[in-house]
Amino acid sequence: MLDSRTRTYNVTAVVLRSRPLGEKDRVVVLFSREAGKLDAVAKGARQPKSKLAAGTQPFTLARFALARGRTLQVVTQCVIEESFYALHEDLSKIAWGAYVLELMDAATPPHQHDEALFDLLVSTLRWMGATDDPELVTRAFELRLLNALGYAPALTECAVCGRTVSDSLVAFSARWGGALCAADAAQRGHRGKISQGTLRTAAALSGSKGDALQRLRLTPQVRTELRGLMNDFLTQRLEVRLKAREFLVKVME
Amino acid sequence: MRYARPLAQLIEQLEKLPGIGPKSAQRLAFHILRASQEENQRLATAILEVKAKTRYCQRCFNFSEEDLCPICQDARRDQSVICVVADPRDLTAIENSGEFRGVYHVLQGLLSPIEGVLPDQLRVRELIERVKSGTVKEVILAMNPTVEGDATALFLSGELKPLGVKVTQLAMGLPVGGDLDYADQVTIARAVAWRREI
Repeated sequence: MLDSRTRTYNVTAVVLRSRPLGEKDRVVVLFSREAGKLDAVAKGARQPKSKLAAGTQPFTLARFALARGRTLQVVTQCVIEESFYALHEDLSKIAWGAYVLELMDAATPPHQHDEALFDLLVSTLRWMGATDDPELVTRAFELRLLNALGYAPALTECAVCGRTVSDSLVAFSARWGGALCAADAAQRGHRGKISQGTLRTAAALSGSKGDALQRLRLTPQVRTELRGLMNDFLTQRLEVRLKAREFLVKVME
Repeated sequence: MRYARPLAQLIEQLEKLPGIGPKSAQRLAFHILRASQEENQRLATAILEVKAKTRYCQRCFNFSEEDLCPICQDARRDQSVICVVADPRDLTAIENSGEFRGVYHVLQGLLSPIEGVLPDQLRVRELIERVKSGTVKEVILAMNPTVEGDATALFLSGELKPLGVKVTQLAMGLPVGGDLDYADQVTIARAVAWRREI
């Protein structure tokens, strides 16, 4: 953790968002390894010759020197470590990547140090740059984010009674926290069912070994079910509406 | 201390302008108070006319006084090359360089997955119609090198290329008078990738 008395300090952080401020400045939301999520002003970052211009673009992983201001931190220097340039060269990666950044921003409280979440974000962006299925990477990110926040859905056992669910079609309820066994689903009048394969895929994606999933391919059915499942679950648990999702629905589909 | 009501009113209105704080508003108000009646009349008329007489060019959506802006009306300009920009200020920047003799299309914004700006909020459909009309040979995408600019350029090239038109993008690299030592990695990487023989 950081010493709260020092006036300037350095953090390694990913830029989650960047919006214009006044004529020449930008306000950036950073997710840092050392101090969690924080807002900072990058003065002059919108001028073409600014040394802060490239480092304050969304997706960028950089080392930032920050000075404590009265309300916001001020970025005094930045050195880019990874620009994730591959994400800029593919519209679907920009759109899915923007969704990842927005979800990260919406789901995490400010000033909460969490290195595991920082590592998750960086590894997700790296994987997204290399993949040809950015949606799969996003689903893995969502599940792991929910795990880290303590909202993980029940995928292999019933969310109510804890019994293993092994039917080929399983009821899934965002409201009850995941999969339901036949008896509990009937008792709660829950009708919607998804395939066992979708649940197994979700369980595999939520596991921590990302590299083993590089070659995973989603069938159209699993992809659609997973999309609906995660959409319901995130809306229920995090109570946020993401602008990037609207972009994905309207522009990418 | 309180100012006389008309003066206080003027200060209050000036303060609403971007970049004008209370102190600057006072200074401007006193300047206006001291200026001649004719000069103030010209200022007041200009403020009223800018809203009443400015509209969008029906072809390129730049600001214009008539149905078509002077650039679209100019017979000497090459109507087969369209330079697409985000807003009229970008158009002015390119125009000031004196290097471009084609015509423009002003999108009036950039796509943004992060801020939720979608194609139907921009003049995308109008651009596609212009290209479909058949006389266009090349479309130059002149967007800012930002995430929004890249998203917009990728989206437009996806829409325009199937129409059989040449789609190009402005080069990116080192700024004039810049310092290689202080340039960021992305700029240098693009400058190296898009280098040319001299």
